[in-house]
Amino acid sequence: MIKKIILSLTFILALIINISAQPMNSASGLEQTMVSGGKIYVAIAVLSVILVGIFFYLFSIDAKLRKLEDKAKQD
Amino acid sequence: MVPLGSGIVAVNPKVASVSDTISVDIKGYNTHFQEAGSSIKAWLKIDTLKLISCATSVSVANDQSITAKFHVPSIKLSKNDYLFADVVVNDSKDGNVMLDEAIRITNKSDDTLAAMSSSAASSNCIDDIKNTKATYLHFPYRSILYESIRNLYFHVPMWFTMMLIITISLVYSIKYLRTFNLNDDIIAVEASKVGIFFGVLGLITGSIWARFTWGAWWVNDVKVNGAAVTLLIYFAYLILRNSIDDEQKRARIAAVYSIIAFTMLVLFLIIFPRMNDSLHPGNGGNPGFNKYDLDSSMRMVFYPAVIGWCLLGMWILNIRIRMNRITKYFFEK
Amino acid sequence: MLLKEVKSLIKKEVALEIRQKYAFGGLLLYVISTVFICYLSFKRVIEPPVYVALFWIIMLFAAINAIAKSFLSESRGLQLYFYSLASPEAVILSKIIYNLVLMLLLSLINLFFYILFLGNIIQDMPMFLLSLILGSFGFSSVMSMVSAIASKANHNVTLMAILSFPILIPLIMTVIRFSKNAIDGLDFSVNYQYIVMLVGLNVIVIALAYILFPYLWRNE
Repeated sequence: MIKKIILSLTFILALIINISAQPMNSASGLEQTMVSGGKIYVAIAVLSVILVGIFFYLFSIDAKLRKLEDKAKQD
Repeated sequence: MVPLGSGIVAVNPKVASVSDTISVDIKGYNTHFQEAGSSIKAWLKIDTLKLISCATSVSVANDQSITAKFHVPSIKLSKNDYLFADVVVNDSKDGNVMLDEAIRITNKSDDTLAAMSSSAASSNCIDDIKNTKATYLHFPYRSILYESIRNLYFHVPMWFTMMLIITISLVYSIKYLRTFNLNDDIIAVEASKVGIFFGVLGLITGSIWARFTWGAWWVNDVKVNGAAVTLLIYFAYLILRNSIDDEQKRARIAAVYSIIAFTMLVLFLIIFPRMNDSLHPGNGGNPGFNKYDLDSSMRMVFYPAVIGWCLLGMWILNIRIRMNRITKYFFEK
Repeated sequence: MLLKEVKSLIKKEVALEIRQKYAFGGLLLYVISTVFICYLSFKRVIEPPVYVALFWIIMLFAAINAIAKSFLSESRGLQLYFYSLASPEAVILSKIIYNLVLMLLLSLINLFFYILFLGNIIQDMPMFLLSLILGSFGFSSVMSMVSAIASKANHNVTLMAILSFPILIPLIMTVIRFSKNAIDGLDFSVNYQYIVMLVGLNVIVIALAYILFPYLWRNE
């Protein structure tokens, strides 16, 4: 479980770094980054939120399934 | 990646006086001016007067910018009055690109009645203004959306998926009330949970999109508020389930509330947005996507995207239902 | 047959209310003291948006207190007794009608003290009264149904608030706009759509209550 949380956190971190590593204007900040490149980063942010959300949801389902498996083994 | 169509981002100067000769810097987005070369034509268009003035010369700086010289027509304009002129550029690669109300035309001279000679606006190139399209496959260019128009494939299908899955929840709630089979209740509750999940994703993605196009994380819009209240109702549905212990009783009462909740969802997400003005496209008495909102190049991706997200939602739902059944099996054992 | 049952059930409600005067007295005290607090904090004629919003917020909480007890105060044994006597449709209709009368009475009392303390800025009184009637109707139909649901879920008053607030939001928003137009004295043609919406909402909720209540009212 902890392994998974760390894994997903690194995933998010990688995403954030990926976004922020893009060339920025001197007056940086969220607004500048997002609007640059014809607002393409808005689309990227939206897609990342959906992916991260679905990954977390699937992880939680996986965790529940594991509990069921443990129970099945005990029986 | 399919590129965006081209458009004009800005022009400089933004103000001109009648009968002036101005040299306008035109900044394009995704344009191919260099490639188009000598085929570039530019016009000043004043819709209210049905007046068109051609550029006397066009010089290309790079792909994204050209400088065009215009002679502003001598039109009848009193001193403090003004008119807007659109700037239209046409080239063989990008077709027509236009910036609405790009230049404000004023009258600097004290002469309130400038010489009226609209016929002087050279008419030799008027025939050239045709609605030619770009030669390559592209998504439509919209001035505040730009590339974020691609969110149409992510944000909108979230709501389609949510609607589909919540409808499944309704169907099985009704089915439960007819059969009193607890299996239907399992499908109803899991569907409402997965539906809520996609609704939350839709709300978050919508919030991000709104921040960088409409300017705020939360806008006071019927559809946004309606979606939030709908989610609240479904959260209440889950709380109601948790507060009842007896299985049959819980299923029955939750099914009743689920039907009420779905009625409210239809009111909030389908009926109210059509009765009020909304920032979202396709509302205010004009339901659905019309030709202006969604052109054929976007439909080509949008419909498969909706089907794909819906299938993903159904798959998650399917897994959850099966898991719930197994849990129940262990519980009863 | 249904009408007869509804009639006798309403009679029963009235008889109960008269016997338990303290419940209505408590509501009355709540309404008067809230209006008085509003008066103490504003001490002048207030703007129409604040005026109307406060009015309906007071009504909302009065409604929760008044209607929550319609099913929550009945014990399971008593409900079982009614179940054997009357059809479920008659039970829910009688509750809705009785709560409508109660809400109308409360809203009139609320309006009286509102005008007494905060002044009368209502330009179109008949229209405002119409908004009171439609609003009370909505409150009573939604909350009677939700109260029935909450009473089945361990007689929980908090649950009733959680379940009913989101459902009441469209009703409250519409009725607030409608009564604000009445305060500003706007023309009937402006309010027409609000009247249609409120009537529509009420019809939908009552239809749902009529169809779904029998499922709640089963003997278990």
